[in-house]
Amino acid sequence: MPGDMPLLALQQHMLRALQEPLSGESRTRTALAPRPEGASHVVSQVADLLLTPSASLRPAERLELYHRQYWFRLLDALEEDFPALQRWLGTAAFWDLAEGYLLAHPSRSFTLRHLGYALPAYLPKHAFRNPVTALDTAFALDLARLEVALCQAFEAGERPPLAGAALGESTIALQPYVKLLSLDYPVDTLWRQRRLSSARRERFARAQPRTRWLIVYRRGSRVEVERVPRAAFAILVALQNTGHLERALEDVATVPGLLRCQDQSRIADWFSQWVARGWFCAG
Amino acid sequence: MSSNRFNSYSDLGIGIGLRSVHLPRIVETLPSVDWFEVISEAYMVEGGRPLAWLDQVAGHYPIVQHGVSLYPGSAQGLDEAYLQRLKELTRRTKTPWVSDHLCWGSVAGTVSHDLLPLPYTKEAVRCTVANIRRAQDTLELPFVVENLSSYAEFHASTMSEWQFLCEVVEGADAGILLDVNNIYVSSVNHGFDPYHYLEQLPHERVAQIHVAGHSRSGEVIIDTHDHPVCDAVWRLYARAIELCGRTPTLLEWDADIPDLETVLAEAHKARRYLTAQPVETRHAG
Repeated sequence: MPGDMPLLALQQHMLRALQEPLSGESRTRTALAPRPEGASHVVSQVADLLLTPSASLRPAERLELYHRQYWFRLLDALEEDFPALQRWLGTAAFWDLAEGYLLAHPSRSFTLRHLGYALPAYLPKHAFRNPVTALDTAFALDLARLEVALCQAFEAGERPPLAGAALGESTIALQPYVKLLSLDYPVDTLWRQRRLSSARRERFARAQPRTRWLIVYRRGSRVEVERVPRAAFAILVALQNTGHLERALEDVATVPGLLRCQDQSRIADWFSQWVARGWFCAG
Repeated sequence: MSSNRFNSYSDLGIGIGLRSVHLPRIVETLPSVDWFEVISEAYMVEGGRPLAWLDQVAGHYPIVQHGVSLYPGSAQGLDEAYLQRLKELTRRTKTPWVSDHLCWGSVAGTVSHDLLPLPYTKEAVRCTVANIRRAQDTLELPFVVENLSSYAEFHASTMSEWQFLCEVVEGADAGILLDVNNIYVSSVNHGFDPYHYLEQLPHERVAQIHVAGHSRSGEVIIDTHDHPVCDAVWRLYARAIELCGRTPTLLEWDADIPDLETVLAEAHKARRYLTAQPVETRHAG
């Protein structure tokens, strides 16, 4: 290598090599499928350009230690954050998705906790090596959205909660650890199941798409998922959008058919529960 | 202890890393250990369980922050948002110093999440010194830089690793987190004498020491932190204590983590070396 290569150029070369897909023995140590494209030449080219050999290792072998470490670490992080998605897709399709995602969305955060945040946006664009059905993809997308919300709620902030009496007078926001999700498939049920037998998977696959309204929130140090009626969800969304109790209720009331008779009598109960859980804070 | 301005004249003794698998037991039993080291990034969050645990432990023990994502060797400088979050955490933990690794790890906002080695060049010294000075100015705490374990060497290097480390800490007026396991790992991988490395360092700048276990993978030793400390590393540690004085020492065990008692027993092995040395306060430069 030219001895005067600027430091930035050296770092750009090396990072580019690390981001190349795994191949050879490094790849066989993962659940990634073999690549029909074969090994990338970038790693060995960069290694020869930048690195010296040691007594026992060629430059490419030395760089490969970092290359595999880069991928192992990121793949492990995604596996940890999306266990239900992996159960649904199966190991091969999940790792295929994970590799494609990491190639398209390398980490931009100082922490691996944020690594999967863009997975729901990427998932519909992913070309699976072994095509999955449209239903599988749609179900997977809802699962990914749920598992991202769980990660976000886990580490989100908590502001001083408002007392019930203050709701009418203040600008209101939801606590950062309260996440609202409207999803088409019963992925919350699947997420709760630690194992997914083929019979159970079949039952999920027969589920009809219809909207489910979910709240993902933190209670103490635990993250929980709860289904709520459509009207309750709509009120929380309106509160999030308007920041005002009265305006939120007005907005919801103007949607034809949204507030049913039984809902109107339950609004006070919903608010009591939400206030007791400390879900509202100053906006 | 080797109290110096790089460890805020702390008289900490033996510490272990605060790992989530041990948290309930630590809070329940308040084990006999002098301090805990935390990975800063694990607690750079807005809320939730990590901070709740941290606050509980900090109520009983000194906490020292050790980072993995500052990347002081990054050619494009430091991430200001990261620095500000790090500073926020230092207010919470009241850490007496902040440490991170002598490495780089990101380019143009893309993060490798690895501790990547630097070429030992004058340009890399200048860049790293400038970054560490900026970190010190922002954090308003002593900054302590850890020597890396590495598996690669660059054509571009014009000096040895210890010369590079010396130039960086002298230039930035920073402390050293002396990882004796890392010296051992790199000495085997690159074929140098680890005792010569130790002897060449400015010992008055050593604020803290790490000891850890490692694994062999074919022809190389990998810094896995998944085993007890081997005899060769304890011998190197003994020499480090002779040279640096009694220095706050931390056992790292980050993978295949055994129960808390096993980790503590391994950490306390360091005491026999520490107690053989007199207490002294050292003044650098």
